[in-house]
Amino acid sequence: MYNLSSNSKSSHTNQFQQNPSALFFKKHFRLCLAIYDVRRGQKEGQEHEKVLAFYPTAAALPIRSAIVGLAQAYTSFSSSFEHQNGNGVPAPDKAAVQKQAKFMECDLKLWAVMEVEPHIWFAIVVNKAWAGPGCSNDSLASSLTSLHSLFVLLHRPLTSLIDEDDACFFARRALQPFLDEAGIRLHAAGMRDPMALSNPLGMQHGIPIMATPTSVLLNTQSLVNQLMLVSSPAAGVDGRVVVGAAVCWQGHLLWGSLPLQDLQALTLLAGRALGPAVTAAAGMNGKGQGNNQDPMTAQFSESLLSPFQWSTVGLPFQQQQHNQTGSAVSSSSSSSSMIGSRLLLPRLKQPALSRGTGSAASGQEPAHSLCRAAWQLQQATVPTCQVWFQGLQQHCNLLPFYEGPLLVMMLLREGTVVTQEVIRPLAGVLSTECPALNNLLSQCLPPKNVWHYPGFRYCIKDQNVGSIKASPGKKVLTLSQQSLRMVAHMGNKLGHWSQGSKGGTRADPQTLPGCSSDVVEDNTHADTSTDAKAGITTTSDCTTESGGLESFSSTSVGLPQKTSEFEKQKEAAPLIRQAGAPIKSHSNTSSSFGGHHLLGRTVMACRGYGETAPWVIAKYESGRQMLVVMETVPDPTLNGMTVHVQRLCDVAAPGFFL
Amino acid sequence: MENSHTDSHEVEDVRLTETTLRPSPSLRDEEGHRLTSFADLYTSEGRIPKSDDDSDPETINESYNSDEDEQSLNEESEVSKILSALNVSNENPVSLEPDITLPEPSAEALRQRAGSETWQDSENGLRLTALSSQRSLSLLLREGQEAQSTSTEASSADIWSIHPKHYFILSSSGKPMYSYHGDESALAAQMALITALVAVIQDQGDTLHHMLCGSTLIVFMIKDPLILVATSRMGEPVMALQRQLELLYCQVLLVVTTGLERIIKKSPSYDARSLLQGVDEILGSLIRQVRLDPSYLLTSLRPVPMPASQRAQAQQALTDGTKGCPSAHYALLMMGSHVIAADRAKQQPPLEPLDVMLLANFITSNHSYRFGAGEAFCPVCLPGYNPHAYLHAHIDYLDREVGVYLVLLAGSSDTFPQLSAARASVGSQLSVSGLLCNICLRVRKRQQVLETASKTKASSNKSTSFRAVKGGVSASQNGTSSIGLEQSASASPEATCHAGAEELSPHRQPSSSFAVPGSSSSSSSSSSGSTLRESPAGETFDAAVMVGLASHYDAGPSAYVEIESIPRPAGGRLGTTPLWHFMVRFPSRRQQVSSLPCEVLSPLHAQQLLSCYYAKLLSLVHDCPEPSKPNRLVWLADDRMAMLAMLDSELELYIALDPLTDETLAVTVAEALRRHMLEKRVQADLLLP
Repeated sequence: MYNLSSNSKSSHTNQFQQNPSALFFKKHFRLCLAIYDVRRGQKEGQEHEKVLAFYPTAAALPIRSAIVGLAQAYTSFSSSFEHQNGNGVPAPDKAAVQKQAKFMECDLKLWAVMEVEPHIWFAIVVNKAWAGPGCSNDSLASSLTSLHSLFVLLHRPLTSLIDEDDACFFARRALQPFLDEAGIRLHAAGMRDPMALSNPLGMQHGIPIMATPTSVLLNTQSLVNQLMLVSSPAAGVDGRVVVGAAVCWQGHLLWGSLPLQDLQALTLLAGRALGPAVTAAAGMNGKGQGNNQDPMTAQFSESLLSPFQWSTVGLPFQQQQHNQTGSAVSSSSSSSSMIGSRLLLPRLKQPALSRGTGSAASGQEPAHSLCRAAWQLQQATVPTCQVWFQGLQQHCNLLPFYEGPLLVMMLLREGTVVTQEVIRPLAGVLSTECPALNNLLSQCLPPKNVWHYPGFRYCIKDQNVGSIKASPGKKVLTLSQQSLRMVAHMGNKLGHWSQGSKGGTRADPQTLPGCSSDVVEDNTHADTSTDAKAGITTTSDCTTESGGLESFSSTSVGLPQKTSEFEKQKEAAPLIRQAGAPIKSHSNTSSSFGGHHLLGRTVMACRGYGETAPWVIAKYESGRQMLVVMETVPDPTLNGMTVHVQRLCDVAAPGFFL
Repeated sequence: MENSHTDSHEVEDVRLTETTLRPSPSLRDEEGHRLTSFADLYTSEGRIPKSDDDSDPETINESYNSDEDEQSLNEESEVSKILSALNVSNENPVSLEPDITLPEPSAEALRQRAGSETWQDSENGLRLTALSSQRSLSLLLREGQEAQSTSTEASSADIWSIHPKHYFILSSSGKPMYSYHGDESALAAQMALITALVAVIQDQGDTLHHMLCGSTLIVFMIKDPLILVATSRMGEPVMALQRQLELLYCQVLLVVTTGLERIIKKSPSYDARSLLQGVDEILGSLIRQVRLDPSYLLTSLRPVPMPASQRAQAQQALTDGTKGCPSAHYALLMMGSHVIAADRAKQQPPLEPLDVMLLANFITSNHSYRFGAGEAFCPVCLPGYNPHAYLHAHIDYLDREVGVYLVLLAGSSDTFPQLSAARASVGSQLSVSGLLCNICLRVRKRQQVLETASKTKASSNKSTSFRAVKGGVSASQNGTSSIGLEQSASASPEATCHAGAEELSPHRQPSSSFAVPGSSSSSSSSSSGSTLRESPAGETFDAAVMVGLASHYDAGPSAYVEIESIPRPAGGRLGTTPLWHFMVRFPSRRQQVSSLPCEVLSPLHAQQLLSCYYAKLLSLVHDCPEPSKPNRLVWLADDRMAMLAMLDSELELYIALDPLTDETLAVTVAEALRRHMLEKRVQADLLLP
């Protein structure tokens, strides 16, 4: 029987000597990541089977099982206190609950787990001392979400991988290197890294959608539309080559024709791999950035999440043509040659057939007929990366192209063999549109720190569409530890309290004699949030059907999403003023205190201790959230701060907060 | 707890308590063991039946909890799965069933103590009564209500999901000791899971703090060998639940001292529930108070506002009365949880505010003190004074109707005659000077004013008025119906809070009667019509709520400042005001003053909400790396309320405002209120010297 009374300090020393888990967590522990399937390893002694992947790989099986077991136990325990309906299903919609992270805080560690797919859980455990005061629940949850999005993008949904293979061999083989790469990256992540856990104002919490002037936006839309209209006889029945496209600039999304979750995954990939690859390529004048790899990063550069796996070596058929003619490319393929050096192509391992012959490296045709045929095929096609889109529910071939800091991600129809015939029409569009668009963007946007507003460190997030706008990481670096801690705590509280108002609990007052009024309040508000969610879902569906042009226009320019809740707000606002009452519910079934959040508005402002104390402001309004830190304020009063923050809102997110 | 003082001459250790509790010679069982409560007369096995008959309480439970047992088995199978995931099933099995072991001698003493036996003075001399009999009655009422509700519940598993808040106390070996909802014996599986979680994390060299799952927050407090757990879905912050657990822990200590921990450490498998019989009512009362009264979040003395001259008279009466009783360490004249005057012997440190709050709850939650025959004398442990030993409290209500009582604390158990004489002296001085009458008159006057106002409102809202519910029933069954509605609301916190805060479902709340902005009377009345019933006396519940606002505040309305009495710039006097409620804490004097909530906040669920908002505000203020350096200014506003906290070295100001109030107006009101509270004249009337 467990006896905590023996857990004195002296006995702790013995535990470290005897308990491998204690030893694991004590010795230089920073973080660990785990992916597990709760359907597996049900029998005693086979608990380790539920672990699909684990980081660090040095951890022994019993330690992995112990960590995953504890994560599973606290998840089950905490779930028992959530309100459930008669079917035993938590009252809010199940998908939302699945994606809801569960946190556990201990003296030394932070735990977060999330059911990313049915029965599949991602877990992260971090050392609080290592993660720093800025590590927030949102950071942990966002890390898990982005890991899952990226994995699905580069592979497939885990469920489908596991269902195909009872032994989970393929799933483990895909997951383990992925998790290793993610773990090492999180280990080494500085504040500038978008994945940094220690940045409570980080960009990892959503899609960094940049609002641009109308002329630029129209040009961007034109580029995407033209790309989607490109046809080629090699592309199949309808001849359309491009299924979708997204345009980024300095890591910020300008425009995209995909559903939001696919755009989020693509933006993550752009931020983690393609963007750095572009920067490196631009810095090295196209000499190829992957040749001199850092030994530390080389060990995890197997995945396409590494910038080292993307190269700009030019189109293979151009090289072939050049070799054959020995002269400059013809005029007909000038545009192709222009874009050839600006395509980011995945570095694929050399085929076994050409290995050792030396012919591939020398560019000479192999002598053997089979090898020669394969070599010719290889030389005639452009290698592309196959990605899976959750929103589109299909595979696509990703073909990124860059022009300065402008990054165009083209998604080609699955199975398209990218030959010269396919490239040529694409090159025509890209060569005409991209330089002009790049020039426009360079003129209207600053070359760096695009979203920086002096005096403010902020993060504005629209949970309805998943968009985010935040201060650059290196600017957040300048904040004091006190400010980071305050903003992380404020973010945690806002998340917790907005969870409560979003309908974490639901109760039927007629059947719950003992429940408090707050349950009913949560219940009623849950409906509102569900309505809003339904609105978004509808939007997302429209996006899928119409290519997303219609629905995304409102989000890309930072306008409030036309959700049903938003409409209700607009309708209800005059009522409030007319009545002159402090609270007016638009629902006739709830009183002011028994009712729900009509607008879902919460404002928190907090000034720390001392004369030079920072101000931290948090706002939540109908799914839109803002965290602002001000360390130097000209007018350090509450009123002065309010005016300042309102100015930031007007500039950074006009119309975002009513 | 930091200032623990041990007086080896006067303060006795728990082991000496056996000698201090001398029952009458006739109260012995067949084997010669002392029986110190009426409950022991029912059974010599130390189990106190929960009803007046001789039936086994477990049998009673089984009679209507068969579904729970079945569900409990299912839960255990679930738990065993989780435990296997934790790898504790083989090497470190956690017992799912409480072991029954014989109590040790010191445990016996504690059990006697925990049975809340009291010595009462009567014409025939000392007489032993048992609170457990009182407890049996209230338990029967409560269990009857629960049994009715249980029949409508699908299973005991729903206990977790139905109630938004839970509190557990268990031993480190998984023995359940207390559960706010449900029978703790049926929760053994859940307790085992908690123990396993805590133990596994401790094995990793860490300590579990809290879990957050959506809107559900679960906070753990590990006071080796006790584990306290609180869960909430009401959006309360971690700090608030930690504070509540701290209060619960100290309340347990007040009854049983740290001797309980020693016993559990010595024999981990000991079932400590036998030691805590009678404590659950006290803990339940504390929880209900904490949920409704935000003042509990600030650890400070709460003085009754009164003219400084009257307070000086009361102070003098205490000093003079205890002058002839050198054994009295402390003297407290209180009303509910509020202090009218306090005095202490030389060489004794000031009483910790926490101790006073817990002592007040201990006294007010035991109705035998108030409605019993005479003076009471019982040992209490003040955790802030010395958590390892008892003091002996002489308790007597000077005015039972209003609820003014005198507590004299001494270190020795044989000081009852001296303390009784001191009480008589104090009482006579207060009566002769007319001070007691003045206090009582003032209280009644304010209650009458509020009652009149409520009746006026009730008559104007006849269409939406509700009838009294369980408060009236339980009051009459407790024999307090003769006191009247006024008292049932203000003077019987157990009855009213139980009825109001717990048993009333939200849709029964009379919010619509008070013209709450935005409320919908028609829907509320229609939804509640089927569930409400008329009280025997026929009083309207509107009146009950309005009179006492008291239902939640045990000391009655006169113990709070009226917003109307403060200057107009601060939000008082005529006209409209954005100020809904305020709390002011004077950190240097460790005292606080709070206002009566305005009409909008008078319904019980609004009071719960107000408490929740204050908890959020305080968590924003005090959630900082250095507790000595709290945040100085906090603004929290949403659609239901706006809150502002302003802190400086002189006072801490917390105010609740109309949600449409902007920052400028809020700061203006707060600054005016701050200036008002810093006036020496005002402080003299509001605070203890």
